[in-house]
Amino acid sequence: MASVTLSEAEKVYIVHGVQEDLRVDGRGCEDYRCVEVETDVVSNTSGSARVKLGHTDILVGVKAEMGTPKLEKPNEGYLEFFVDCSASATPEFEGRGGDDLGTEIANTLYRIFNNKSSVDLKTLCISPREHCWVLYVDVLLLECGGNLFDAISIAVKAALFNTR
Amino acid sequence: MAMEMRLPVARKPLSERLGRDTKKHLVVPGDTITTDTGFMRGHGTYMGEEKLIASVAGSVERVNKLICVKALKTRYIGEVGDIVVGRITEVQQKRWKVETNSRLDSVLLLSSMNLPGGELRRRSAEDELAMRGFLQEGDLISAEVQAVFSDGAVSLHTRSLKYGKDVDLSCPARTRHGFAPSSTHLLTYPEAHISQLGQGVLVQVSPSLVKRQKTHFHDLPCGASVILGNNGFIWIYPTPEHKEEEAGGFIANLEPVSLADREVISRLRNCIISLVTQRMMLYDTSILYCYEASLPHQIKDILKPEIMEEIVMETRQRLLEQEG
Repeated sequence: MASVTLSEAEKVYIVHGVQEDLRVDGRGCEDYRCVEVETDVVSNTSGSARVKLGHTDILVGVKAEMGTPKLEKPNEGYLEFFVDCSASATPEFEGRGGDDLGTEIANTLYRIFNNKSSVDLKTLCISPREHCWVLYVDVLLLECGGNLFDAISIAVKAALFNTR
Repeated sequence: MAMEMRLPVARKPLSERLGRDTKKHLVVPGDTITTDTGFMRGHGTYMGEEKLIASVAGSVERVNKLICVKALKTRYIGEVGDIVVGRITEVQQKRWKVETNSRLDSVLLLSSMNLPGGELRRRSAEDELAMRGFLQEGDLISAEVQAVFSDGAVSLHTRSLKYGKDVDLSCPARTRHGFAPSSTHLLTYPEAHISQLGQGVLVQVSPSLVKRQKTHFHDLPCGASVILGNNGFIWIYPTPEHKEEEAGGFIANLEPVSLADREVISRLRNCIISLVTQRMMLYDTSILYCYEASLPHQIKDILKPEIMEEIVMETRQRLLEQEG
């Protein structure tokens, strides 16, 4: 979303509204916008999902490949995240502008999916210390309309669910 | 903190929902409209090889012998006398550049602006330096289109309606710039007009959805006022208690707006957005009916697709009943 300049009065109106738990569109401070989830959108991946949250549009593709387990976790497979903030998402992402945000989101995703309750990594193991599945998760930001972290985490979860 | 998920397959296309019986004659640029040469050609058409061909994508409208094509999606094209709501993007030497969703930025000349101290004051060098004190980048204004330049750029002016007369005739600066006085008869307007806009909400819609009416400033009975700019910018604001014009309204009122007023404004905003997604014309009656149809629902629920459909269906029914 390209940034829009607002007049002082508009800013004051919005801030006062938020203080009273009423946003401009009538939602409370903790209410979400409408979410649309679609899985199996990209045909040449093992799993994919597309999530639309208001103006935010995220596309996730998951590819499964064989690899060797990490030394400290020989019984588990692992996930690799890559977040691409495309320049068409918002003018700020032109050139190399989106890289910082991309690495920040990728690091957050590593932390989120590092525990057992989100993804059971033991199921990704084929033979201990020798072979395991590696899931390469690619996230593409088609349009940036706010609340990226929530939308991306929903999309990744949906894509992993869709992975066969 | 509940979230609702939806599937895109559940989204119904617009034409299904409308269930129109009358098919509109839709054309794309290059389509032949008619080979009959008896028609006069209007906007959006051109004559080529003895045929009338469309130059924009839209629906064909025919009034007696005049054929024109009304574009479905277009930027705002200025007409003299339109009311527009614009945002200041630049402050230049003797004028402001205003963004009005048109192909070129509109201009607001310093001489076309109401300044404190009376209508007929000559604009001095101090006024030029103090321009940023009147209007800054990001400020919203409501203005009237005074003239349209040959390249399509629009020149604005902010009217003063307190005296109920056309300011053009009295201001000498206007003729200096070569603009002919727009009219010789008195134009009376019943309500006061604010030039710089204070607290409120801006909604941006397509200019083709705003119906042309006698007046674009409405004080809705539900408790808020709305300015329907012809350029598609709609400004919703709390109705001011007392109507007075202090020095052109440069000092914006920054006191907190009451929660009841806020809810009315948010509801109106959501109603306007639902009317726009269903491609209905926007005017005071349609907005009011939509507002009343939405009262049983919570404000944030109006944004859900099913409820949006329901409300607009009810509004459409009421409007048809009112006409018939």
